[in-house]
Amino acid sequence: MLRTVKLPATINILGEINAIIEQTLPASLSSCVLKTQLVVEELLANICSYAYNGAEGCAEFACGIVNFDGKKCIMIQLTDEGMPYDPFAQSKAPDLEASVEDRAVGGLGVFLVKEIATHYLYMRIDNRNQAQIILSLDDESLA
Amino acid sequence: MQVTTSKLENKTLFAIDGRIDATTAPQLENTMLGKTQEASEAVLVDFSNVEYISSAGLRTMLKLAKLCNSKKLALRLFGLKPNVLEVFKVSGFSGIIKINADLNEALSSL
Repeated sequence: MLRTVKLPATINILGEINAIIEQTLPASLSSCVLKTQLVVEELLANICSYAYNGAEGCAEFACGIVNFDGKKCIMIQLTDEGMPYDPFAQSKAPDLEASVEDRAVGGLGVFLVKEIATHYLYMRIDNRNQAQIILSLDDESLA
Repeated sequence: MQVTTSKLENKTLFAIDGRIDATTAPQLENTMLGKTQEASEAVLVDFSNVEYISSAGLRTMLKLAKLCNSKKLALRLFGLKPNVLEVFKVSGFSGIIKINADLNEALSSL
């Protein structure tokens, strides 16, 4: 079952969300806990920046262990009630070959999520944006 | 997150302790960029007590690397834990910022 919480869409809730992730996932999965926290931070930062155009809003966060394709996986879900926005469609892959001088500052968050996730999906559902991420437990490395 | 700045002969050593995320990166950035402005020799960053870094932290490290380049200062990161190192690898930052295993290796690479 997924544990779900609804919080104000501000980056200041990060500590609270990280604590929930640590309570929800077994401590034996420490590297998955860090990956889950990374995915959630990057998606939350995106919601805070884009969903509500500077106005106040909510972010709903859920995570838990699920069976997916017959394997145990971590499922993460971030939902907001802001304007339609597909984070995965917007993000451009950064130029990994660029030098320090040429490398753009920023734009890495969603790229990291895509690289870490085993599966990712965006839906516009009931006037809400929902991003779903599956992290495979077997795949312990980020790469 | 805490960052301690010290001098190793004339080199600047930053030791970071804790998580580098969107809530802590701005403070880290202020400290590191401010101190690096005053630096005249190599800048070393001890990551051995960093358990987590997100894109906000990578942004800080890229700004630091750009500042070091513009001031022609060598920059070395060392002591990265596996999870943190993976984030540097996935983002391509391990190809543009020099990373060493420990302080000794970082010093001898200068």
